[in-house]
Amino acid sequence: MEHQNSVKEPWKRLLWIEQDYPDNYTDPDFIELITKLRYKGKNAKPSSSSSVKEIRDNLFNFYCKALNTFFIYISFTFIHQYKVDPIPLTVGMTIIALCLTSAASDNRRILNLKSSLVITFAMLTLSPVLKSLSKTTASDSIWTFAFWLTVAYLNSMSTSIDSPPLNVSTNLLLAIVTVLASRLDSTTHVFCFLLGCIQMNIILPNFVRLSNKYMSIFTHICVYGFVTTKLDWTYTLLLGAWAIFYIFLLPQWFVYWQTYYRGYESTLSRVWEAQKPILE
Amino acid sequence: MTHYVFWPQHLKLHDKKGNLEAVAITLRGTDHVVIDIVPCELLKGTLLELPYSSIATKVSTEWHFKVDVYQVIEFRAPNLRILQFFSLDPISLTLPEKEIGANEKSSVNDNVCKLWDHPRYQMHDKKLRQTLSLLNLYHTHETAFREKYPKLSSHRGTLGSRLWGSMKRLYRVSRLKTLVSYLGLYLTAIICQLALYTYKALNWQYLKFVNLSVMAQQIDLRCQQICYFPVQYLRINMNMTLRKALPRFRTYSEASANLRKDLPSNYYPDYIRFYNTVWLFLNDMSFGLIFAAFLFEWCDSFSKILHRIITFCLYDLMKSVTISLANNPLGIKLNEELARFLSDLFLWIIEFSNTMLLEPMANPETLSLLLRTVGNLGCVLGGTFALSVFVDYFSILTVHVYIFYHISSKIYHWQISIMKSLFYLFTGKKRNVLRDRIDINFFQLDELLLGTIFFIILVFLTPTVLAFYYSFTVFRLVTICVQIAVESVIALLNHFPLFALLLRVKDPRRIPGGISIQAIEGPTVRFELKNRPLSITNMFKPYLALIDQMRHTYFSPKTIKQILAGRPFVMHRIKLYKVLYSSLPTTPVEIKTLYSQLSQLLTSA
Repeated sequence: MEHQNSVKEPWKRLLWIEQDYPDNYTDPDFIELITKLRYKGKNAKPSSSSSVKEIRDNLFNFYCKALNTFFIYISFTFIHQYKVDPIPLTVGMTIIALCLTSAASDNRRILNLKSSLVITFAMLTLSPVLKSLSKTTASDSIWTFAFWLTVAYLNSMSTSIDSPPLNVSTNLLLAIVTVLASRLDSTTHVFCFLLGCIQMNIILPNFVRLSNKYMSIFTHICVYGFVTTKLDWTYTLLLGAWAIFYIFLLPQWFVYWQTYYRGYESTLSRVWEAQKPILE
Repeated sequence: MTHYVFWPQHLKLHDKKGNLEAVAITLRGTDHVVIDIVPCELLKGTLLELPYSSIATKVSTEWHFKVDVYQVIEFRAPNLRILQFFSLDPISLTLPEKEIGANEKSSVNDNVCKLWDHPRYQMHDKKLRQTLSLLNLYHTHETAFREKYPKLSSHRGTLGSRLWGSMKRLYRVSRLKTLVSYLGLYLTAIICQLALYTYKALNWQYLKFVNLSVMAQQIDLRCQQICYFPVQYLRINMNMTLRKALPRFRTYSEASANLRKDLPSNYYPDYIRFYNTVWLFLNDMSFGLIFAAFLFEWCDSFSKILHRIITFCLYDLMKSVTISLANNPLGIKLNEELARFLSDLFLWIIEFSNTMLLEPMANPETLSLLLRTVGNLGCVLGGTFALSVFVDYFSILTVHVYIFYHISSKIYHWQISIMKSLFYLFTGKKRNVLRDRIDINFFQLDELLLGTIFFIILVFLTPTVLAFYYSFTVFRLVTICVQIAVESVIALLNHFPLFALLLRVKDPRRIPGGISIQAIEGPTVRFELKNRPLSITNMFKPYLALIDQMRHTYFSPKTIKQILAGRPFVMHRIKLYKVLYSSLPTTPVEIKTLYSQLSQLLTSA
């Protein structure tokens, strides 16, 4: 190539823009990566200790979020099964949420006054409709529906700490809450349950990191205490064993698998994945 | 090159004794067609001018042709007066602009079209075409030949025909003819103008009665036919006069030019269409009479049975279905509040329609009165009118079914479309109107919350709406099927190609659908040119198109798709049956545009 322009545009991996490079141009980064991987072979493993920690952090965050959804079922059980009055709890939650919202900076605030009013009044208006919505449907179908919605919700959650929740996962959570609320007896209960669950699972995680020390200890005490008292200690044991396996063993195993079994082609394709052109 | 000699069968090859000479006519671009067989002695003194030439001589028993390589093709000379003729293409029973598939946009590449225009891909039957038109005018040319060389022929008209001719001539000169002509002309003009006004009233642009009632459609059809009669008459008769004027040609080039202009297949379908319409008119009347006699005979028992059927199907059945829909039909638990609301709404409409429509209109006395009226109408105007009154009556009686269907389909359609957009919101997507695609969008929490709650509510209400919608759609489909059945009978009575079919039975040579050349058994190789009658499939082409369209509208995956989406699937009646109006112009021709021509044709001559 002639050096007419000393500063050449860097090559971009985009087919639809015309670039001053030949068609068979190969990016030096690619060659560098491939030679590194090829000559290191099996020694090309990532530094294990740091990556295990990173993965574990992500998984723990996910675990805390999942535990947090238990609160939906806990509060539902109390209201539906044990006929506990939900009003004091909701008032308390609302006060906490208000306090947190007023202290938070503007860009973290996901609710302004208008939208919170809209939400509250919409729920007030629609709670009688929701109450009678599934009256003729059998309870078993509702439990099954809620269970599958929960599974879908857990699948749709992002594991990373910083990313905001996806719209789909928020919606699925709302769907679980709405479906469960339709089984409650009175309009007040429906409204309180909806409001409490939304504050607990949607508004709260925006201000408090769920995986921080105090919050997670609180969640653990609540969930494990609930499971032990209302179900049985065997369930607590099962849940605990699962959690330990999930947080301590799984990351280790994953890194091991990635190092010894995945091979460098997949590492390469993760960075330079093949692009499929869309032809009409 | 082989010379083809067309030999009419009435001039027998082997019949006459003595030395004969065959005179043939050969125009520009045609084969030889034998005009007459003349004794050699007569021909000796005369010099034949160019279109005519002697093609063969018969010495003792053998014919000696003056061309080297030849092939004789025999044919029966078509009698144009009774509209026999040869045609290479099947004649069209529909108007050219109404030809099915004529206006369809072809998906053929432009280059291919250009290739088609190349002479290499053009038809190579030009000579045959020209020869066939010559054959069609055989008798005209025969007369022309005899006029030119009177002493060559020995032909004389029979006494009867001459007497008939002189009587006709006498009638033409008399006053009676003028009187009758003027009377006919004024009467036609008045009737056509009335028909035109009726047509315009029925097709009023703000309220098309034609779309609403079958009766109006029937009247509209008759008006259109009446308006088209003068045009057809004019076309048929103009061509008649044109044909009569033909033998006057004197020169060779004039005859050749005429060959191209006057093809019977141009005006002949008009004749078939005209008489088909007239026949169907009469046919309809006779059906009406039979129908009326039947109705008068069975009026009382009929009205009782009808009353029972109508009350059961349109009141009791509808009511029981609506009530059962509110109470967990088939064990499916619907939303109680909505189901009760909808069922109460529909029950109220049923009761209302029962008191306002069914009770006054379907009690035995009214029904028997209706049957008598229909019978009288059938006597006067024809069977189709009687049937169309029935269809209209039926659609008035089933108006509540239509309302139910309409209400439930509207609710269902709204619900489906709202659920679709809310589902996009549920998955965090949104329809991009500018690019017509689904994009990912980040919604605010209040939007998400409201959307999700509405979505869940709609999901739980869907089975209820679905149950109502599908039950009433089934009712609606049943009523449509009944209507379609009767309307098909009407369409059959209105547009059946009766005349063409009868013509095919009576004289296949009068309804040509092409030609065939067959070998004749015998000592020498001889061929015969034969007429192939128009195929039955070709005659019923509009019907096949209608059946296809009906299937497409009512019994196809598209219909199921429309029903699933809650969109209306019924086509406008006039649009559906338009296929059958293939022998009528799109808009009726106004009489004043024809008046001068018509008066000229009727009063002169």
